[in-house]
Amino acid sequence: MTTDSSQINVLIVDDEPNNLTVLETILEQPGYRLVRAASADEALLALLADEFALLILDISMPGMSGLELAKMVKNRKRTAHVPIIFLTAFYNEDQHALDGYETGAVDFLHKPVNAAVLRSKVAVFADLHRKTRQMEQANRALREEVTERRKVEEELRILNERLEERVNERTEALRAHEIRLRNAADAARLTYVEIDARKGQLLAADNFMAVMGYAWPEDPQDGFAKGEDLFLSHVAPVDRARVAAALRVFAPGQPVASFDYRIRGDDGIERWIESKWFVHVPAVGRVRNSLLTNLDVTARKAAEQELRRSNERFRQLADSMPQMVWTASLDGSIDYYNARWRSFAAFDESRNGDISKWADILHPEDAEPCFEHWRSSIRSGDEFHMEYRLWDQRARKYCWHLGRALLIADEERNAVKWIGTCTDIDRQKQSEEDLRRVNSALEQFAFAASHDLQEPLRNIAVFTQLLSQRYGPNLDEQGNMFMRTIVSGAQRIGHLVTDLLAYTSVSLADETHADPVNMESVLARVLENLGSAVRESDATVTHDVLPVVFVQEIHVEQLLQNLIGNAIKYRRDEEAPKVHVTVSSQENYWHFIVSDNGIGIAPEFHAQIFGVFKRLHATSTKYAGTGMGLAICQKIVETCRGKIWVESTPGEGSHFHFTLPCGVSH
Amino acid sequence: MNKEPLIILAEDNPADLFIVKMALSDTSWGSNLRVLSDGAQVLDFLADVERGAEPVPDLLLLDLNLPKYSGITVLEKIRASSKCSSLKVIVITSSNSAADRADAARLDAMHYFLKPNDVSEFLKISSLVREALEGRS
Repeated sequence: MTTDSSQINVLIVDDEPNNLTVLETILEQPGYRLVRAASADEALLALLADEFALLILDISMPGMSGLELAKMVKNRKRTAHVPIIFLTAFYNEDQHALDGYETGAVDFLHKPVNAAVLRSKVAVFADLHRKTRQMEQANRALREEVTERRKVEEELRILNERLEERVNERTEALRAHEIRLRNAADAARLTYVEIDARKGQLLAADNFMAVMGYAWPEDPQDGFAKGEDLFLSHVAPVDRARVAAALRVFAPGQPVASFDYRIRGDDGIERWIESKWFVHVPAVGRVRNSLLTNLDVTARKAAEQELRRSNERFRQLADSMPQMVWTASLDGSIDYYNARWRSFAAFDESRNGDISKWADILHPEDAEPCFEHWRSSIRSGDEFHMEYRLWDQRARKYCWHLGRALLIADEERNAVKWIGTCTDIDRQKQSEEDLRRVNSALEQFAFAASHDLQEPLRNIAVFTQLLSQRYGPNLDEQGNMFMRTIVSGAQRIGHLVTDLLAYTSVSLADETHADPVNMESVLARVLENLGSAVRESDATVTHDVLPVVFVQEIHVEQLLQNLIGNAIKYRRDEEAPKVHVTVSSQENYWHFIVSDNGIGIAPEFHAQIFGVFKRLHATSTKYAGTGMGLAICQKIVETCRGKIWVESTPGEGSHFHFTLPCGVSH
Repeated sequence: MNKEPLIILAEDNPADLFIVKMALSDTSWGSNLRVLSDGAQVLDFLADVERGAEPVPDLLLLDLNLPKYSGITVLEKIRASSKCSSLKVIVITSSNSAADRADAARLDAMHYFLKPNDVSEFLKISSLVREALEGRS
C-alpha cells in the first residue's frame, strides 16, 4: 500500500459500520487518509502496516475492547506515541474515562459526535503529527549531515596523513639531492654567493673558503657591505682593475656576465677562478637578486697555457728552421706555413687550404706528379717523399727541393695532422750531378788510359824478352839482369793496369741488369784458373753449395778469384793452405765467408787493406801484389749494395766476409 | 792445286804485327798473309770480295782497337755481308772488357785472344791459327 507522505493517516475503529461511515463523512477532506477498522484485530493489522497520526477508537467493542487495544498500542514502542481519541456512547461512563486516560488516551468524545468538535480536534492532532513529522525529518537531515561531515573529516585526516608522508619523502629526497649537489660542487670546485640587493644581504656557500682560499664574512649584512673590497683584495693585482670593471657591468640588461682572474687565497696559493653573474632582472623595477658562481679553473688554465706554450714553441722552432715547414689537416688542406715558407713564396694564412698556389711555383713538369703523389698520400696515409723543382724568386730560377710529409698521430694512435717539410737540395743535387759527371769522366779516363797503356807496355815486355832470347848469349850476366828487370817491371805495370781496368769497369749500370749466375760453375772456373797455384801449394779448397746470384758473371769470378787466390797466396810456410767458402742465407741477402789457415792480418790493417794500391808486403817478397785485388772486391760488393769485411788473427788465418743480395734489383 | 790459305791480319800496331808474323812464320801457312792496318782498309777489302775482285779469305785475325772503324764495327759488316758471313775470325786484342768479349761472342768469333805480356804466351797464337785452318773443309 502506497501512501502520500504529506497525507495524514487517521485510523478509525468501530464495530458499527454506520458509525465508521459517519466518521468518514465528518472527516472527509483532502489532507486526510481515513483507514477503517471494524474490530481491534483489524486496527492492529492497520497499525502494523502504516504510521498513523491519530487513532479514533470506539471504547466498547465486542471481543477486544477499545481500552484493551489502547493498552496494546501504548505498550508497543512503535505505536506508543500515537494519540488516541476514545468515542463513548454515554456521558456517565466515567470509569471508562478514567481507564481511557490510564491507557494514554488524549481525549474523549461522546456519541453522537459533534462534527465540528471532532474536526477541530482531529485537525489539532493532524497538525501536531505534521509538525512532529517535520521535526523528525529535520532531525534526520541533521543526523545525516553530521554523519556526512564526519566522513569528510576522516577523509581529510587520511589525506593529511598521506600528504605528510609525501612531504617527508620529498624532503628526504631533496636533502639527498642537495648533498649530491654539494658534493658535486665540491668536486668541481664550484662555489657561489647569493646577493639580495633589496635586503642588503650577501650569503656565501659553505664551500666558499675551500674554493676561493679565503673566508667570507658570516654576517650577511657584513658580507654585503665589505664583500667586494675583501674579494678585490684577494684578486691578483694584475687582474684587479679588469675584475673591478667586470663587477660594474653587473646591471640590468646584462643577465649573465663571465670573467676569469687569478686569486691568491690566505693559504698563499694562487688559483684561476672563472666567475659568472646570474642576475635576476624583474620585468619591472630594479635588480633584486643575483648569483655569483666561482669555479676553480686552475687545471684548465694550466693545460691551456701548456698548449699555448707548446704551440708557441712549435712555431718558434718552425720559424727558426731553414727548412720550409707546413701542416695540413687530414683532408690535405694546409693550415700553417712557417716564416721560411712565407718569405719564400709569399704564402700567407689567408690562402690556407688552397693548394692551387703551389702550381704557381712548382716546375710545370713536376706539378702534376707532385699533386698526384700528394693526393695518393692523403688517401693512403703513407709518407709523402718527392724531389721537385720550385721557383725561387731570389735566385730567379727553379731550384730542386726535397718535399716530405708525415702523418702525425695522437697518443691513441689516431692520425691527426700532416706535418710537411720542404728542403732546398739544389746545391746537393748540383754537387751530386757534378760528382757523377767527374766520376764518370775519371772512370772513362782511367779505362782509356789503362787500355792505351797496355800496348806500349806489352811491347816493352815482349820485345825485351825477344831481345833476351836472341841476343842474351851475347851479353854478360849484368846485361841479362838488366833485361830481366825491364821485363818484370813492364809485366808488373801490366798487372797494375789490368787491375785498374778491372776496378774502373765495375759500374752500377752493369749490375742493375745482371743475369742470374750460378756461383758453383763460376767457382769451378776460378779453381781452374788458379790450378797451378793450387798444385804448387798443395792447397785444399772446399765449399758449401753456392747459390745463384744476380751479379755480372765476370765480377763474381773476380771476387772469388781474388779472395781464394789471396787465401792460397798468403799461406804459412809450414802448412798447406786450407780454404773453405761458407754461405748462409739471411733475410734478403747471402752471407759468404772465405776462410783460410794462412798468415793472417794484424787488426790495425783490417780496414785499409780494401783501399786502392794498399799493400802490406814489399814488392820484393813472395807476397808481392798490385794492391788492387781487395779494392776490386770491395767495389764489386758495394756496387751490388753488399758489404765486405775481414776477421783475422795473425798466424791463425783470415775470414773474409761479404754479402750479396738475394733478389734481382739492387 | 795446293793453294795456300789466305789469312787476313787486321792490325795497326807494328810491334804486335811483328810478333803475330813471327808466330805464323814458324808454321806452314804463313806465306799467304795480307796485312790491313785500319778498319777502312778491311771494309774496302770486304767490298772487293763481295764484287769478286778479291777471293774470300780463309781466316781473319782481327784486332779490335783499329783506327777509323773499330774491330767490332768491321765484324758486324762482315757478318752482314753475303760472301763472308761465315768467315772464320780470331779476335786478337789487349781489351779484357766484358763488353768486348760479349760482342765478339755474339758476332761468332772463334777465339778471343788476349794479347799477353809474355812472348812465349803470345807465340801460342800460332796453335789457334792451325786449329782454325785445319778444321776447314
